[in-house]
Amino acid sequence: MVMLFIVYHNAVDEEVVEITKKYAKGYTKFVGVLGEGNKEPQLGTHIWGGLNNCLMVAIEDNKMKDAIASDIASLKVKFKDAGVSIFVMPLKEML
Amino acid sequence: MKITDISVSRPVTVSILYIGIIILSVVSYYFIELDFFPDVEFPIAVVYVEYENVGPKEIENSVTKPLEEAVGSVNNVDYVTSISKEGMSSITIKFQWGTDMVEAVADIRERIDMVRSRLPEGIENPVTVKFDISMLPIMGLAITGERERSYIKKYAEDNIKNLIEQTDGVASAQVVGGEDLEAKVELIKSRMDAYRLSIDQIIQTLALENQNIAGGDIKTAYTKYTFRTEGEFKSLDDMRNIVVAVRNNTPIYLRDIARVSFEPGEVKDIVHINGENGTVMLIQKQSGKNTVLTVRNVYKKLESIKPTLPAGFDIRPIFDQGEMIQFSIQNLLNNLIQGSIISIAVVLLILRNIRASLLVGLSIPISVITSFVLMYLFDLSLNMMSLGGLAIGVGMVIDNAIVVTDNIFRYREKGARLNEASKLGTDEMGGAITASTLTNLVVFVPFMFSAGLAAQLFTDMALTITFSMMSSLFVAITLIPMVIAKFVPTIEHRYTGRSNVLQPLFDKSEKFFIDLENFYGKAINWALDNKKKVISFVGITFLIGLILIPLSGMEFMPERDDSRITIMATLPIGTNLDETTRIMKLIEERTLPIFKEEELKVVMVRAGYGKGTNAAFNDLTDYKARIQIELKMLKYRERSKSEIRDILRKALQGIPGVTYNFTYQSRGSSSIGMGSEGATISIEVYGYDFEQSNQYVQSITNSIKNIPGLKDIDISREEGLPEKVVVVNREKASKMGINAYQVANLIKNNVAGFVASRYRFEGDEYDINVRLREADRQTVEQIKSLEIDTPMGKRIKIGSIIDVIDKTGPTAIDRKNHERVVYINCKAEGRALSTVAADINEALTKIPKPQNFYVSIGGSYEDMQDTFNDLLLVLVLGAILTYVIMAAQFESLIRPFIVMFSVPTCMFGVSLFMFLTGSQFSVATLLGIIMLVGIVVNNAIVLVDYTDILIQRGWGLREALVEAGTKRLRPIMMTTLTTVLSLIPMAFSGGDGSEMSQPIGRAVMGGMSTGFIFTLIFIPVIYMIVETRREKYSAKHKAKF
Repeated sequence: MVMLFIVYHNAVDEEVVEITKKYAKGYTKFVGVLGEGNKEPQLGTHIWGGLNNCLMVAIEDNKMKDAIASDIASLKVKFKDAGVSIFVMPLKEML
Repeated sequence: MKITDISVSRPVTVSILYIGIIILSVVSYYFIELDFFPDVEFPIAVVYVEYENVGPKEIENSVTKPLEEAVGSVNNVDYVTSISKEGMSSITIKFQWGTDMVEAVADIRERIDMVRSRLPEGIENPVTVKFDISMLPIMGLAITGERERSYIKKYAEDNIKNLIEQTDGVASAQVVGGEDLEAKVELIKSRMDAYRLSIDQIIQTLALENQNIAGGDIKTAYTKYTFRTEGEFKSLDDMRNIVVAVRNNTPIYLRDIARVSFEPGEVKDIVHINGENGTVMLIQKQSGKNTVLTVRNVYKKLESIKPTLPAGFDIRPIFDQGEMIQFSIQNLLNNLIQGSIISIAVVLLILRNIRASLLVGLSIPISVITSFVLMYLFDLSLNMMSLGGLAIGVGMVIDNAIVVTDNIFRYREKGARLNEASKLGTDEMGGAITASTLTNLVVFVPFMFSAGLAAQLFTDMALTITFSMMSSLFVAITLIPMVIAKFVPTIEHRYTGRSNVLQPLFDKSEKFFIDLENFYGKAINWALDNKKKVISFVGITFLIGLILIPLSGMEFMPERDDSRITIMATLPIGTNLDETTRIMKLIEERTLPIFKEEELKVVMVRAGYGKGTNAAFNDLTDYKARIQIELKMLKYRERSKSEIRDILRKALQGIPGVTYNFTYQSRGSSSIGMGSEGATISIEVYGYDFEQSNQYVQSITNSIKNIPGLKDIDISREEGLPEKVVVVNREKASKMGINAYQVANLIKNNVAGFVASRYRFEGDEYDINVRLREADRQTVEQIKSLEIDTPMGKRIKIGSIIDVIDKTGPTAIDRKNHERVVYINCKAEGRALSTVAADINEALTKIPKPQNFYVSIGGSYEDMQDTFNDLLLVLVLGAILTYVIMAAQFESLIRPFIVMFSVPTCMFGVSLFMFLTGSQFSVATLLGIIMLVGIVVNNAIVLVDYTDILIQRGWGLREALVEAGTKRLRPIMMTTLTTVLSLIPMAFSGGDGSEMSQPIGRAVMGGMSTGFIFTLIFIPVIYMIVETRREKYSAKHKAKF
């Protein structure tokens, strides 16, 4: 079991949620999270105005994880400006 | 939930909301009053008193002076002017703007009551009226017929007046011209003398005999009877048969000593309509009623009146304000529609998406019609100013929608789906478009603190611009994101719409924009390397702009082609009304053939002192006639009002003894005309002595008459009214027990007549006017032979106690602020009012001034100076408020300081545009400049803001300036071009009523054009200088620590 944290530009929110729902039973969304990375900082300020959203998704099957990663990779190709990152970590159990 | 979330997620709600707004707007539009100008409350009150047959000097001393003193102490009085003329004293009190006139008029009445006992006996009650622009007639009807004028007048008053007054919207209809019928008692002097009767006895007897008096009741056992003594004359024979005296037990009847008749009174005025005798009916509307609808109702009523007229009678409109308003409003609506189409075309060219451009364009009609609801709620009328505001704002109301749409498309580029892109794109821009809307509007706030004419005139315009801009802001954050999300599904990248028809144009324009951006990038780099050159260039152009102002000329209000030419024709003083009538016929014969069929509505000539209110507000006399030419609307004719006026000047030359004033203005009322007679100057010469002032005025007139561009010099004081002055020999008179008052009264009653009582006939009341028959009052000798009873019971001829001297005196005495004044009125034509006034001032310094005399310049020149000062204050306050809004927006004091440098850059464009288009600077131009302060900063705000962002993102100063410029060039161009190009129809189309809005359009167009170009280069230079100095200052201070 793994936990995915998908952090992405809020512009592609609908696409990311669609991909996630294709492979996972559910998700938890954090709207308007801030962060800096390889692309433009998303700080919600006048200088760096963009905002990210974050999806927390629990995956039982590793195949599903790969499928999500593959779809997200295609999305990144389509929208080069919209940063999307997936952070994967082990998940002990789900109650 | 944010407002944008609601608008995107709930399209049905938003659609219903806007359908509701549209329905409300349509309803409001039909309820809004239509008028030419806003409802300006002029702070003017007039007091007039009739004192029949008394000369100007006597009126001045006994009536005008006490009244002036009384009203002069009322609160908030600005100045008091008066005119004392034969039989009439008229005092005009000008209050400070913003004075509560209801209270002021009540105060005036109170003060007059306090001095009432000091006024001479025999004067009529002083009448106080507030000047109200809605009092001006909205329509005039000519009533002509093949009958005598008194009959036409009576017919009009009895049969037409009531019907017109019953028409919806009409307050009153006043019949002008024509004599009233009266019962005339013309005494025969020889018989009066033979029976030793005096006129006073006849007057008293008539008054006492003509009475019905109730006598109480008597009661019998069952009945009550009322006693009534019936004495009122039922017929002329009743009057003829009254006994006026008994001599030797023989009754003397009125018929024995007088001719009694029922016929028209003395002719006091003439009215000719296209050369025919007639009367005129002037129609006033009820306050708050729609002028256009009221006029329309009167036209309908006329259709039902016409078939009932007697044979040979005709009734026709000679002028109506409704037509002027309709044409002017239609003209402005056309400007608005054309401006909208141009704006949408500009958006299409840059956005390159037909559907998106049309949807963005939706913000124009919706913002405009939403303004109608607010106009209705704020009780504004649809007039030249309010609609002008909507037409000017048409290019600006689209800007917010453009900015929002552009940002939505930017989110689409990032991959956001339609709804998401609409929400995010709109949210992000909400703050920016609110701030830019506020800077546009904040310049109008100072109008709230100004009460002058400019504020009264332009507040409507400021309010409608505010309404439409606020509506556009609301549309941009509610409707635009919803419709873009619903109806523009295909757009994924900005500036890449597809259209088979327009694709070649789109491709070319894209290449053009890319080249332009590259060129602009290089231009910024060059400017940053040549800062001194750029600053010098902008400084020089600013100075050129200032120099061009006097070269273009200045005027108070642009002259309006109101389709009316008023000419005052003056004959030699003392000319009687019959001779004036003859000359007027000559003038009519020369005037009528000048006009082409499609040009003329009517030529109306009026002359004569008139009676009552008409006399108080008229400057007409028996020798002074007004020729009023009503033209068809400008749309129907090729020649303008001023062209026709010039032709008339030539045509009317050569009639002996007649002088003309082609731009007549009544005394001290220049601003009331609001531009209808163009640029007027009034030189006010103050001084007491008549002879000295006449000489001084003559020398001023001689020295200014050759000033180029000065026309129609008219001196208010006219000397030479022939008078027969009766001087009572007091010594002789007192020996006889007679005083001057008795002598004066005797002459007045015999010559001028006295209304002894009222004669009731067929339901109407008429004056019973008693005086000597005309044959007995024609010479001085006849007057001297009038007999008067002494207290000793003797009867003497007044010739033994009076001398009659021939004199000439002023026809009228003008006063201002309790001093005698002579107005030299003139007009500036073909040259600027300001330069002509400067020449006059120079000429005045060279003329030796008599002791205790002084001169000042008034007229529209004075109004212009006052109003310009008011507007300059508004301009400065507007600029400060703009700075304050920007300081809050930037959270900085330095950034708005940089942005404010964009303001002077528009001055060059305004002046150049006005100069090249041959327009003069006026109050309207200054309003355009005030608006520009709020608009022109927007481009600089975008540049400075984005440069700041880039610097804080780590860009170098120069790179940030170049990048900000090139990246923001398109949005800046789009918003500027929509504003500038949408004003083309207003600035150049002309047409009825365009004179006020045209200069505003031209000023904004010119100022925005240079402001846009100069800002793009100048602001980066100023930014660099300020930022470099700030860095140096910071480094220096850091080093110290």
